[in-house]
Amino acid sequence: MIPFATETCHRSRPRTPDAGLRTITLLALATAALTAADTSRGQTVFTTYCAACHGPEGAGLVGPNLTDTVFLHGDKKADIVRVLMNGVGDKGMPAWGAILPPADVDAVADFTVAMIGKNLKSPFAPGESSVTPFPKGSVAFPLLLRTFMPTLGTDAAVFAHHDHGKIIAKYSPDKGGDVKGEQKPIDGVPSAIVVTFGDGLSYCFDTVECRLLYTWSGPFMDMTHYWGAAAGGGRKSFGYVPEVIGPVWWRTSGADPMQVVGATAAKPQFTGYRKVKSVPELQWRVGETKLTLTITPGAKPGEAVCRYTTTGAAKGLVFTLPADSAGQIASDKGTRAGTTLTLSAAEAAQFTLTISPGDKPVIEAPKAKPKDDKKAKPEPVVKE
Amino acid sequence: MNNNHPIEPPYRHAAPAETTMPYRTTSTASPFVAASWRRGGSLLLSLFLGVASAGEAYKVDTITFPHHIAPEVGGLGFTPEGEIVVAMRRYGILIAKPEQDPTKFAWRSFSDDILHNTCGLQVVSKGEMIISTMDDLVRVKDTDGDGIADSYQVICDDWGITGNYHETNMLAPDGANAKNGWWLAIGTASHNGPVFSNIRGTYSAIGQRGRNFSGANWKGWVVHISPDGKLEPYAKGFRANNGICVGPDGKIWVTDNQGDWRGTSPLYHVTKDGFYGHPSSLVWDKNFTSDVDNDPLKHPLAKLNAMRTPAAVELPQGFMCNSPTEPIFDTKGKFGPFAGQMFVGDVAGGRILRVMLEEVDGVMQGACVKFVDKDLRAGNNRLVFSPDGTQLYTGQTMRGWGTPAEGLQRITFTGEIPFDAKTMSLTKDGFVVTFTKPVDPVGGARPGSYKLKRFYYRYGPQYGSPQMEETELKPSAVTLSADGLTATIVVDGLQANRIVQLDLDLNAADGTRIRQPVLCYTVNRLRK
Repeated sequence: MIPFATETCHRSRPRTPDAGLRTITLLALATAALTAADTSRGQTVFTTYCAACHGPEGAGLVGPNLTDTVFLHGDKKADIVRVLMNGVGDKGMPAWGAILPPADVDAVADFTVAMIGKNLKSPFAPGESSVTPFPKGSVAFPLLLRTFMPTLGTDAAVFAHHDHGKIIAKYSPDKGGDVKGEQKPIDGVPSAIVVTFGDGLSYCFDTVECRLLYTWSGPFMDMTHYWGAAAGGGRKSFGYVPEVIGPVWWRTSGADPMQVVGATAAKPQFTGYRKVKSVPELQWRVGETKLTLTITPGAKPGEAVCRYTTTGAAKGLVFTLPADSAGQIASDKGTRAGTTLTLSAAEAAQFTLTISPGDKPVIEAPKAKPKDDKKAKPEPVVKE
Repeated sequence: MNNNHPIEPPYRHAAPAETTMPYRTTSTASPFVAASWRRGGSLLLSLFLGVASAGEAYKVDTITFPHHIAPEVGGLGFTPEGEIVVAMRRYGILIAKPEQDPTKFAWRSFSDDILHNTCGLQVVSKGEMIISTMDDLVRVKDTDGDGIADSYQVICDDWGITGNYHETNMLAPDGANAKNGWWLAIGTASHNGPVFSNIRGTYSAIGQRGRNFSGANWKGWVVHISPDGKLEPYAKGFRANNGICVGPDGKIWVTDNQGDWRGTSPLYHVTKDGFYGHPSSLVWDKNFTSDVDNDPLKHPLAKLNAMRTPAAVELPQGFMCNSPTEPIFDTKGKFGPFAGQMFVGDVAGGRILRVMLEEVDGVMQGACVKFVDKDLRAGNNRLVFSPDGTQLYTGQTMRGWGTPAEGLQRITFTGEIPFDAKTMSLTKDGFVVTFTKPVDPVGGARPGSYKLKRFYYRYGPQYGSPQMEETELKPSAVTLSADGLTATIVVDGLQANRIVQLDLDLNAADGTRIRQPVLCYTVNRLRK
């Protein structure tokens, strides 16, 4: 295709009725055949190279809808040619300038311009769904969810068996190296189990420390940061840390509270869980000692009844209860002296700690109330 | 409390598929379909009917799920009884007997627990599944025979987790019924996400440098896990290796995604102790950090290049594949004329690829071509063949990577033979291409019907690569066999370490247009 003909074809494609009237000229009529040929080439190129991401009609698949009027990088032909030539690396749009001959880029740019404003709906556009980022459980059907979680200010001494992210130099992907500034680790635990029994009780158990981190009541969690809004999809924040919604009634602190008498201190190893009448029994091992923990709701909102079993603690257990919340914890067995609870081997085989809510929550409301997830504005998608 | 799961609670539990308003699929109730009908598109008519045609040879069905389930597929499998198992990234595990009508799958819940971003699945039986998640490899069992899982035992969790969203993995059994354990391909983290203040495993600040990084142990590796849960590192140098399988001959195949240190997306033949090009994972290779360099990203590019094993097949970015996922072989030969070949999903495009492999001078290489690129959603994350081998199911998800595209689709071989290149094989002076149908003898013998060019993708820290040193190759001769099924192309200018793109301008003898005209052959070695 000769450059003159290409340029002429662009001018002859009306974007508005007025423009169309102005361009009905002898020249346009004379080049009508070329216009058709150009469109055909543009369509061929689009079908071959673009349709996989933008859909056969340009209505969008993984790539954006090209038939609406929202163009992040400009809707003029020159803008589209620039994007075609250079690509948008972070969004997965290739630099077609390195792949297609200029005439094909030109033709497909024309083809794209012509589809703007058709406002076609993607064949796979989400329909109505009851999926939400607000999972729910109940006493009859408690929900177990494994996820990243916030520490909610839990004492750093609790995380003795974790390694710790450090502040590092900020990295620029554009420059391919470090730039001025630094990147800090964010608050979180990477391998948590959370369980909710509905509004009465939810808890967060850490599978690295193998201990209960905190309990709360109310409407559980907002998973939008991790799952996206109701329609699912793109990332919603730099971190993927869910938000706890209700008041937090208890939060642990201090070093590992549980010591097996006569055993060398060992790193706990989470081994799994089983469901007993839908309620999770968490299981782990410390050296040769096997432990289980089953947590159920107590009589009051936020009250957690923690039933432990141990196997292999031949000389019993010593619990050092968290100093700042020992008053909230009662045991059905053992000998209590201040914050120290001593259990014989027989007592340690099965005992129950009841964690009561204090006079006021440790945290009133980490997240005040759920937002209307269906109205949540999607954030830009990052393809990596 | 009880464990009798209700039929249709308001949340979490599976219910029979909604037929009047299926979730994320077309239906008679869809206003889109009404509008499409007015436009009169044949594709849209097909969607209206709930069965979309991808050509005469293959049709695509969209399987529906109940409204309350986010069908983000992390694992697919079949029970020995022939029921399909779908492990969701944010729901649980569903089972259904496949039905001819894609809207009539009666899903039931095997597990409601939301495991941490389910990434892989091996079905042992209808009562036992092996699941890989961001957190661990776990055995999920129904121990009391009520059809609902009640035991979740950790097999292995001996890899790090930094809290970065990108650290996914994929699972492949080692040996029949995983008698030798499992292979796990573990991806790196992304600079678009953080690391946490608290990390499981071992943290490395040096490993965290870079665009995609290995801030905790075994990110960017393929590891082996024995049946008793012992993890052994096997090969390194991976970026987003979201696809692994063991071929019929025991070779391990791993896909990876275009990005930093990846000019385009590769398919690797993986062997023990191999290094596959992305350097961040080398921080966990003690031999490298003690004897070579303690900072892999600062190691000279030329030396990294010399260390690496190149891809068996490069999957060109953009027009062929953007983010490859699970590779799977057609071992039964019931899925059309491509018995023994590999298929690969693309999570960032509505397409599935086909790969033709061969060994040349002791090295695996071969060609790729699009297989189905119409009527499919993007997000093609996990693949599984139906037990009879006539259908390929594709489980979709995009969360974390792009615009939502999720659910389950099914590609069925109709029995009609498509007109496609069947194989592409390197010769000493060109290629032999075989076809699924006789080629038109006039066009098929014309050298101009076979356009070839060669290029390569640059290796380095940059994100992706343009096609480098594009060079047109002109066939000097083409010979079409008497039966019209084999074209022998003689061409000058073949070089090792180059990709040869072949564009076919062909019709079959019966007039059918070539279905997929673009093939790309990765020449690692020339044939001697």
